This record gives sequence, C-alpha cells and structure tokens, in this order.
Amino acid sequence: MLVLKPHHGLFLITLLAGLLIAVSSSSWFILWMGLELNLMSFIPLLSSSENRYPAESALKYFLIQALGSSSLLMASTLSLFMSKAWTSIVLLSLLLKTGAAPFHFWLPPVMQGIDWFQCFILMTIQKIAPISMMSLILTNLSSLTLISSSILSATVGALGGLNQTLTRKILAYSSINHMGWMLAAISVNEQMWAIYFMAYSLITLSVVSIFSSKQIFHINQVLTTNIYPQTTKMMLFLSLLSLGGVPPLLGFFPKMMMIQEFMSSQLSLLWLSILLASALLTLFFYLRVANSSLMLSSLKTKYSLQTNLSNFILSSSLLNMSPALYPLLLLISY
Amino acid sequence: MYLSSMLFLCLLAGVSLVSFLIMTFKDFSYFVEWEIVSFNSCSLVMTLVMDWKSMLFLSFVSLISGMVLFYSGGYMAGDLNMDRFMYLVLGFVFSMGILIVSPNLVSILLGWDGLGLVSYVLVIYYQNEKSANAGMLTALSNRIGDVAILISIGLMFDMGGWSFIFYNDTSKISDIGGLVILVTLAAMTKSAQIPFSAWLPAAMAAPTPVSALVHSSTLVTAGVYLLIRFGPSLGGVSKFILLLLASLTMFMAGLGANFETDLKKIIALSTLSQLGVMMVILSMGFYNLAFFHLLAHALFKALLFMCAGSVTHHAGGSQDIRMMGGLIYIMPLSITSMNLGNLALCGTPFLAGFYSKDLIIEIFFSSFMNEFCFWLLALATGLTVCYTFRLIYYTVSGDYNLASLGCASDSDYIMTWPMICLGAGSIVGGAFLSWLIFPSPYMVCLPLGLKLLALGVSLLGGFVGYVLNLMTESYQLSSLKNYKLLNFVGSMWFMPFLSTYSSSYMFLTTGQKYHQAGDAGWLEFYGAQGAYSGFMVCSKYLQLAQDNSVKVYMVMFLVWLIFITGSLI
Repeated sequence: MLVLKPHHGLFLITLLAGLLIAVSSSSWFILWMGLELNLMSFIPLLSSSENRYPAESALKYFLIQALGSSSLLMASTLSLFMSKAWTSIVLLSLLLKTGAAPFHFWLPPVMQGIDWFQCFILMTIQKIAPISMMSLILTNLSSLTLISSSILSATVGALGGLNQTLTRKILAYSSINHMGWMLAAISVNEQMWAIYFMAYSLITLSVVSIFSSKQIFHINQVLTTNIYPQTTKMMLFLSLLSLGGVPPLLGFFPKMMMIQEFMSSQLSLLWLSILLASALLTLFFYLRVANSSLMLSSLKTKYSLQTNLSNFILSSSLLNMSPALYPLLLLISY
Repeated sequence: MYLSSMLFLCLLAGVSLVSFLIMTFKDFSYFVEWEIVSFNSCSLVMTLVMDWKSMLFLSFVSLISGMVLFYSGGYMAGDLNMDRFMYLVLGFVFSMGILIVSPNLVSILLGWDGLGLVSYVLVIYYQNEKSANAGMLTALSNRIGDVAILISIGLMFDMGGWSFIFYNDTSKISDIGGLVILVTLAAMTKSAQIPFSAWLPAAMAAPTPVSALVHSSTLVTAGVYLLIRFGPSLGGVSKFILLLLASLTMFMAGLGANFETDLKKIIALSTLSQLGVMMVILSMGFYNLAFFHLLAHALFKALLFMCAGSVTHHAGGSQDIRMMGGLIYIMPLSITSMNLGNLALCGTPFLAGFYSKDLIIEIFFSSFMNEFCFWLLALATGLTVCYTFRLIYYTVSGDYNLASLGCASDSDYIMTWPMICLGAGSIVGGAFLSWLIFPSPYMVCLPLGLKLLALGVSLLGGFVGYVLNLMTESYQLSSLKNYKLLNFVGSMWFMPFLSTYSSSYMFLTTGQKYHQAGDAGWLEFYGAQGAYSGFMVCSKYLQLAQDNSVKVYMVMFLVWLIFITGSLI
C-alpha cells in the first residue's frame, strides 16, 4: 500500500539530486555535499507523524550516516598528508553508508521500522552513490578491505537471515548478502556492477511491491493473509526465487555473469565459492517464506477483501521472467 | 470409440490380408528404406519390410485387436477411463505394427519399447497394489530384453547397419560374439521363457481384453517373431539352450496349469506352454512352422480369453474356477466358444490348433533331438489336454457353483459377436493358413508308435484331467500328502518368488543399510542437519551482536577505522 504525500515528491527530487551530485562529483568535498543532500532528503521521507517507529529508524539512520559522512569529510582532508591511509578511511565510511558487513548492524533495525516503499529506496537507490564512489578509490591496498567486506557481507547476510521471521529483516539480510556480490562486481568492473545492481533493483522491486500491496511484514502473513488470487502467490514466489538466483529467472543471470567474470579475470575462486554458498543459504530462507504457503497450505479467508494486483505489480513481477525473451536477442544480433 | 476402432482395425486387417494374398501368389515383397543419418560408414535407416510374413501377421494382429477392442466396448462399459483404455490398446497395436514391419534392430527397438511401456501402463490399469507389483514385474522382466537389444544394437555397429535381414544369409551375425545370444535372451524375456516366466501370469492383473490381446498376438509373440525374423542366423549354443529352456517352459507351464484355480491364470499358463512349443520348433530350425503355430494360436487364445472375460464379467467378477461350474446351462454361447477354443488348443482334429500343433509334434519327432526334450514335449502335449479337460470339468460340466442369486447370461452382443467371429476363425483358420503358408506339404515319416504317441498322450491326458478332478462329498484330497511337491509344481517352480524376492532381496537390504548409515545416518547428522544446526548457531551469535544499541555500532565502526588506518600508517 503505497501512500505518497505531497512532500514526498519534493524530497524524492532532492534525494535524486543529491545522488546525481555525488555520482558526478569531481572532488571529495562535492561528493560529501551530495551525500549529505541525499541523507537530508531521505530523513523526511522516513519519518511519519502517525507512528513512532519510523522516527526511531530515521534517527538511527541519521546517526550512522552522519558518522559515515563525517569520517568521509575527515578522510578528504587527511588525504593531504596521509597518502596511504586516507583511502581506507574513505572506503570504510562508504561501507558504513551502504551497510556492508562488518558495518551492517544498523540496516536491519532501520528497515524494521519503516514502510516498504522506504525500504525499497534504502535497499536500492541509497546504495548507488556510495558503491559508485567505492569504485573510484580501488587500489591494491583498499581492495583487500573490499574483498574482506564482500566475503563478510555475503556470509553475514546469509547466516543472519536464517534466524529471521520478519519479512523486512529477511530482505535487509538479503540486501547485505547482495552487497557482498556487488562489492565483488565493482572489483570486476563498473559495468558488471551496474548490471548486477539493475537486476537486483528490479527483483527487489517485484518482491517489495507485492509485500507492500498486501502489507506483509511477517512470514506467517504469507500463509494467512489474503493472498487470495493464486497469481499473486505465484508472482511472489517467482520473485523470491529470482532473488535467490534460480536459473530460468532474472536473478540467475547477473550471478552467472559474475561467475564468468571471476573465471576470466582470474579473481580468487575461494571468494567466488563463498559468494555462491551464501547465495544457497539465502535461497533457503527465501524458500522458507514461500514453502509453507506454496506447498503445504492454501488458506483462503472468505471474508478478506479480494483485491487484484495492479498492473504495475504484475508487470514488475513478470520482469523476473524476462530471460524467457532472451532468445529474441538473436533477432537483433543477426 | 470401440466401434470406430474396430472398423479401422478390420479395414487394416482386410488391406494387409489382400496384400498378403497378392504377395503370396505373385511372390514379391516391398522394402521401404529411409536413410536418416550416416556416419562412420554406418547408416541409420528407418526400414519397413512388407513381405508375406509381415502382412499376414499384421492382418492377424489387426483383426484380433479389432475384435478385442469391440469386445472391450462391452467388457469395459461404464469404466471412467474407457477412452484412455482404448487409446492405450491402440498404442499397443501400433507398437506391434512397427515391430512387425521392421527388419531393422533400431526400429524394432521402437516397437519393442513401446510394447513394454504400454504393457506396463495396461497392467497397472486397475489401480491396486497387486496390479502395481505385477506391472513392475512385467516391466522389469521386459527391461532385461530391452537392454539385450540395446547391447545388440551396439554390437551391430560393427556391421555397418542394423538391418539384420540383409545378413541373415551370411555368417556375419553369428560372427559377432554374443549378438545371437543377446537377441535370443531378448526374445526369451518377451516370450516369457523359463527364467523370465513369472511376469506372464502376473500380467493377468490387466483387464481381460488386454490379456486377450497380449497373450494372443501382440506382446508375448514379439519375441517369437523376432527370432523367426532372425531365424537363419541362430545357431550353435544359443539354439541348444533355447531348445532346452523352451521345452522346460512348455512342461512347467502345462504342469502348473493343472494346479491353478484362477481361470485367467490357467489360460495364461497355457499360453506359456504354447510359446514353449513355438520356441521349441523354432530352435529346431523350422521358422515357418513356428510362425504358423503363432498365428493359429493367436486366433483361439484370443477367443479363450474373451470367453473367460465374459464368464468372469457375468459371474460376479470372480475368476476362481471353483466358483463356477455348470455354466453351459446359463451362458451357452460363451461356453460353447470357450470349449471350441479349448479343443482347438488341444489340437482336436480339423480345428485351428490341429494343423499347426500336430505338424509341429510330428516334425519334432521325426527330426534330430535329444530324448529329454522328446519326453518333455510328449508329456506337455498330454498335460495340455489334461488341464483343458480339468477346466472343462470345473466350468462347463460340473455342478452349479455360482452365487445363488446371479444374472449370468450371454445377452451382451458387443461381447458375443467378437467371440463368434474368432470362433469361426478357430474352426477354419488352421486349415486356411496351412494351405496359404505351405505351398507343398511337409513330408513326415514316422513309425506307428511315434505316430500314435501324440494321440495316446492326449487321450490319456484328457481322461486323467477329467477323472482326477471329479469330486463329490466324502472324497479325500490325497494330493495334500505331497504338499511340498505340489507347492513347487503349482507355483511355476517358485519362479515368481525367484524373480521378485531373490533378485531384489540383496539390493534392497544393501540399500537399506546404506540408507541407514548414510542418508538417514552419518550424512544426515554431519551433512544436512549438521550444516543447518551449525549455521543456526552462527546465526544466533550474529543475532547477539545485532542486539545492541546504535552507540555500540558506531563505536565498532570507529574501532575498525582506527585499527585499519593504524595498521596502514
């Protein structure tokens, strides 16, 4: 259930402006400014006057991001006289801002307090600027930090999600896990990261839009709420499987490309295998969301409001099936 | 659907019969070959051969299956899945047709596997545990033959082609080691010769029309037909083994039928016995005689099964012959047809079975063979008449044993018309076939004793079979004194146990041990569940780190910052 208020439009525009400033900046100071603009316009998007949980989340988010920004600002001044260490500080602060392990702790509690729409922005749009900045400062020294963070993110995302029963937390840990993949993608090249990020955003959009339209916050609700039309159920599970990277679906392809890139660019296979094993674990907890309702029980509450999916949700879920159209590429290429 | 299938199949029968007649009188055959792929000088071709043999067999198969399909319109009336049944039977006929017209081992495999698959699906048509077991036994026994044919295909790669009919006149086939033995093995599984006999009575779990089709002209004759086609290349040890096993099969089935009380199983065992006869004469080298008996047998065996189906259908669904008796007063037409079939089976003069069976026995007696097989054949001939007259006593002439309230009758014309048609075939079929297949008669020269032997054992067998089973009050069942022997003889020499329990026992127990130790044991503990609990412990610790205030997160970040930056300075 997407509720947009008039001020949301304004802050969304400034949020995107901050993002664009940060991505296209030429100096660390302008970058910091863009990130601050982005942060400052996301805070009003989070908070709501009707509920105290978003406010708490917004405060947590602000504190963490402010710490990241300030250390980023510190690093940009330190760059004058600490030629080696400042990139590490920048990298660490950017990792904190994106919520990559070992600085991921803030992400699940923040996500737990906010609505699905804001969750979606937090999981996707808010990651563009820091990750694209990270690709700028990759050196031999900082890439070791990056690899460790990537491996940690993948593991923590996979293991942390195992214990969760709340859908927003599951998606938060899924986001941390995918951060591991995206950090690996930027060490391959930026294009790879862009592809991975696009696919991840689309799949997340399809999952979140269904959760949001049915207001599902706990995995019990998948079983008991009014997921009445069977197509909704199918779409949800299709999206979850896609998020886990099951072959014919969209989520599989960026992962496959990553595997190929790892092979061709001689990156560590241990790293890749940890990423893949973690993807398996995430698939387990996605399936746990789907399994009971798909396989065991089909509860139809007769008194529930029978709402059909909007075309937007349907089409966003169908995006997961887009690999079925890939053979059509032959028509273009020949 | 039963009517249209019948019309179509009878049309097919007519066409192939006419082409058979033309081919016989003008003495030619058609051979159609389509090369699909050629590699390494080995060409994979789809071949159709239309000579008098395949056309005659095709006409018989389609005539009988047409009759059977029409019959099942009455027998299966009211069945929910009747259309599925009809299509399956048609699939059966189609597979058999492919097998008949292909002289090529690859295309034979198509029909062969089709028969195996459809027979499985038809045996398990009635969904219960017994049918499932019978179907599995049937499918897996036939699977051995499939594998043998697959290996033969691999071996025939040596020859540059799979059309064995080209090589029959040369020694090429017998040059390839093991090929003939494998083909013989395949034929023995399909025709249920001795180590693989168990599936044939078990397949009686199928609906009766299927049994009528399977046991007359399609499934079980496929093996015989394959060997007839392969005939000239058979030789040496495989021929000898085939002779021995076929004689034993014939004897074993004839003996076993005398102790069986299930109507359909008695007829199934008689099929087994007749298959033994075909295989015996085949292994002596008389392919056309085997083919002749195959066709004549197809006519009266289909008739017998139809009558048996009619009887069980109207006698309240029970197949136990002890529950029948005196049926001639109630359903005269079915019982007359059954008697006709039975007499033809015994080789009563001038019925269908007489021409082929008498000829086979006399040719056998006049050719070179060992004494063991000679006595087995003589005994089996007597036993056939013996169990036939036993059956006649139990069903036709004995006392009325049906339920006191019953409505058995012959009123269903859909079931009686095919019986009448095949009954007519059982009367005249043998004579016609012998005139058509053999342009000149066989020369048989036997001493008087041997000549009368067949007649003698038949008369004796008939007498014994009828009299030994006569039963009234205060008779003692003296056969119980030899219970162990009876058990051995009456259960097909323990073959059903041997081919189910003995072959699966070791594998199942080993599998169970592996399952207990592996899948349900160590692998489960240290594999799936171990990994799960390990991951959950890790997850728990992560959760512990997670449950902190934002202050702690920030301090953690600063600690990392100082630690990493410090290490770099």
